[in-house]
Amino acid sequence: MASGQKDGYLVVTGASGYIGRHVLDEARLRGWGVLALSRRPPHRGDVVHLPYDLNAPLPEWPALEIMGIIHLAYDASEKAVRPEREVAAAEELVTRARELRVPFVFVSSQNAGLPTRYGRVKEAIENVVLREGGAVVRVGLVYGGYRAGSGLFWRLDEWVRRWPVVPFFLPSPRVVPIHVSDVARWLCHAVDSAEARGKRVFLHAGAECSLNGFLWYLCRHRRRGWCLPVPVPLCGARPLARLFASVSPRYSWLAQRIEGLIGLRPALRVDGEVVQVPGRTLADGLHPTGSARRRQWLQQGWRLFRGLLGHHVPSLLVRHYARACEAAESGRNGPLSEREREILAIALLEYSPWGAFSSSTDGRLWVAVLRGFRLLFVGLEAAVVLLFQGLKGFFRRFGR
Amino acid sequence: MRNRETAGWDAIVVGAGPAGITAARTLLEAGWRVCLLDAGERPAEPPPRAALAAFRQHLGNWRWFLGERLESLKAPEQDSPKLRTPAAQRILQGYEQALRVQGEGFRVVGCMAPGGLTNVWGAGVACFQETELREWPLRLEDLREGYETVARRIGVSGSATDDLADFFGTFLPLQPPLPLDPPAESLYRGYMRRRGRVRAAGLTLGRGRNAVLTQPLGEREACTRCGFCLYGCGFRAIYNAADELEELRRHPALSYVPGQWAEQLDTGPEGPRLTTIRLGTGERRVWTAKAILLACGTLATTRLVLGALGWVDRPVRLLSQPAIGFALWVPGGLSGPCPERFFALSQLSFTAASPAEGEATLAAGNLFLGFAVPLWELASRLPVPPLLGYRLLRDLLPSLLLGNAFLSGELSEHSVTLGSDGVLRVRGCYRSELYPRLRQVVHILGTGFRRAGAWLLPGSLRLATPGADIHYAGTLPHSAQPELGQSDSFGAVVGLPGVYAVDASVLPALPPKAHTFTVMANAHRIAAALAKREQRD
Repeated sequence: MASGQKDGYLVVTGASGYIGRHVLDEARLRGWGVLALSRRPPHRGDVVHLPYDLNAPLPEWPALEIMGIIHLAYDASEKAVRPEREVAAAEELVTRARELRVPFVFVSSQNAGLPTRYGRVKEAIENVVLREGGAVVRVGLVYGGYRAGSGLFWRLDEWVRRWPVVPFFLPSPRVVPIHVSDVARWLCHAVDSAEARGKRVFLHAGAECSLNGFLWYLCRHRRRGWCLPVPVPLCGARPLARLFASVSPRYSWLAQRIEGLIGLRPALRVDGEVVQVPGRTLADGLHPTGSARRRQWLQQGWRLFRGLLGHHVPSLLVRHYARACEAAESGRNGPLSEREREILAIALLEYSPWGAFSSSTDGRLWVAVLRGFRLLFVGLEAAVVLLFQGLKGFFRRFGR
Repeated sequence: MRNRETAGWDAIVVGAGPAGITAARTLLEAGWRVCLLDAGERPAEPPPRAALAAFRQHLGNWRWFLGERLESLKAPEQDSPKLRTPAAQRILQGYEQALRVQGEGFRVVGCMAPGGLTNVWGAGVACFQETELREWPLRLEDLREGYETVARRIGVSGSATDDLADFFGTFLPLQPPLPLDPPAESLYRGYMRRRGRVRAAGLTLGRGRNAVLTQPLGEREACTRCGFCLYGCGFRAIYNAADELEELRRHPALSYVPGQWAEQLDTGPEGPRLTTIRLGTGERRVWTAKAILLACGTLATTRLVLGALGWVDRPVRLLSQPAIGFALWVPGGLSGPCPERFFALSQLSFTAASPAEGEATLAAGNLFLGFAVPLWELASRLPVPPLLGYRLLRDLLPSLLLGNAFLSGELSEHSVTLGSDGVLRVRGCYRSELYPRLRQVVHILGTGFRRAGAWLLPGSLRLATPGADIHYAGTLPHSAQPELGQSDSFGAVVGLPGVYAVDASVLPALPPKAHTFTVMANAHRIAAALAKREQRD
């Protein structure tokens, strides 16, 4: 059991779920104590766990100094708990927060208010929370971090890793992806500040894309390959998903998600105040380390050395290229420009066993002839490039 | 609180660069007790004692060539490749902040490490001719002893019998020249075959005179042609004043005090006084002696003198040589090998003169092997995308020579002003006469090299930013009737009794040739005259 905390304890329901785990990590990082309410014990040993089920009444808490409540618990199976019970559980929690005079934050969804079971329940809870002066935080498509539970992101991730085809929805719903760590950070911030109290806010991490675009990113960064896009009209997907769900209960989640997706409009509509969260790029967020730079450097390096060597590219050289990029970009604001990257690749090749001058050639005539021919062709290419550059400059000036 | 240093030195020499070391040595040899103050503390790190061609094949060594944080790639592009190496970056950084100098259209380069700018110099050696000393209050005969003494001390290699013997000075004791590498040899052969026609175009070619040993001298070894010249010399074959300082420190009459930045100069009843600041701690110290010799580089010396004279917001003339760089293709070197060993400093030297103007030298310069400069550096300077540039250079480099040329300092119109805010502002500007002169020089080079069997590559010619030549001079010129802000023929600064300027700031004119050797010879002359005069008194 965790020892007493200077700042008090944060109560987190659904602490063993996907967002819950990351909230626990963030809270502990800030030095807060955590009272985790969940059916399963949380993944951390340094928090106080209290078994909690949405079907059961709210248990009595140990005598701790509570600093706020974050309500994340939700019946993902949508079968174990009736909707009325979920709303009642939220009411119990928000009442407890009022009694303790601590902030209450409810994590809702982009889908709240849609004519699905999920959307209706979320909206009902939102209304209860707002009535009691709590904060409602709506989030879009939460992704990244480490795996926990069976959220939409992990289902899609599993799909693209396993299958060579990927649905291409027509029309494609718009989603607002946000990294789970960014969500956790903002939730803890909401508890700590009065910024969102009594409000409904939507977390926006800067990236907004179509679901098809998000799936393409998933293929590129999680599967590291291509998937064949299969057009799926959303209107036809609903009966298909229901058919799947009736055949096997394993696919019931699919039917629910499809329902949710159909509810989303092609143009995103956001209710409530939009809060810009300093987020990360999708490429960074989808990388297990939280940064895709190294992978990008490796890919760039491979392409550049392929262009320079024209044959098999030594992987050691590419790895050194990534290290050099890391060294170059540390302490500067932006990434290296394309020209700088090319110069860096040439420099690394020069200081390697594969450089142009690694093998010494003797002074025979055929060497001169070979060099002369190559120079002729490359010189012509350079002349064409210079001509195009000149014409481009001329037309640019002419245009002005 | 100030510490007063009056430990009974006869002279204080400020700066451990080539002029300061020369002056200090001359005074020590005359029996003086000398205190040598230097801003730098750590000397530049020498390169490994290996062949460049082999060393660069080890993949991890890119950090050595480019720097841990790729400082070489990030360095200003207008700088010479020599100044962009990580070793040079380490010793050059911090100079502008310490001196509080601002270049306006002028590239300010200075070095605080022991050895000064000889850490990054091209080691070119040339004596001024009688005609080039027209504005000096002395004759070549007065400098001759200095030239000979310094040449013997630093070791100069080159040919005594080629066409440039008069231009470089015929009286220098020379070590044998280094062998020429293939493209330079091919060009020189072509020149010798068609010598008359090339010289008729105004171009004269000869072997470079370099302060590089081809035979051991004292503790220094002979050149092994390892190819590392751009980064320094692990064998100490290239003269570096820092190496001589190591030897000089063993002299019992020398006190060497590093880490002292000369901040202020003034004169009192007891003689000249110098205030220094210890870099890092800010501790101030005051130094007095009967003579203070300023050898801390033209800009730093000028700052001290202007401050002492109270010349604020008053521009002073500064000389520097307009410099150009170009590439030369020698088709005869196309079948040449990628050498395992080569010499990366000046292989050949040239002068461009117009016969119509009575053979007056318009420009002089040096030719280097293409291999001397990193390939990525060349690729980054081509007008085509770097990857295409790499493919072009891969085949071109064995037959490529790179050249630089310096024009007369009279074509510059720079000025130095000490502002009331304490900032030294250097304004860079070339005179309008430069551009027709430049066209003339390019014409002579193009025609002359073509006749010798080489081609000036189109688009390769570049005029350097003012100041990038690092040949600064002429702010406190020698004069027969010196006025305030000038120096007499023995370097004594008018208005500051006991203060002598011995670096390039006293040169009244800057002909188109390397001036470091003359600065050293002049420093020797001034110090010898000072010692002689004191002895007589």
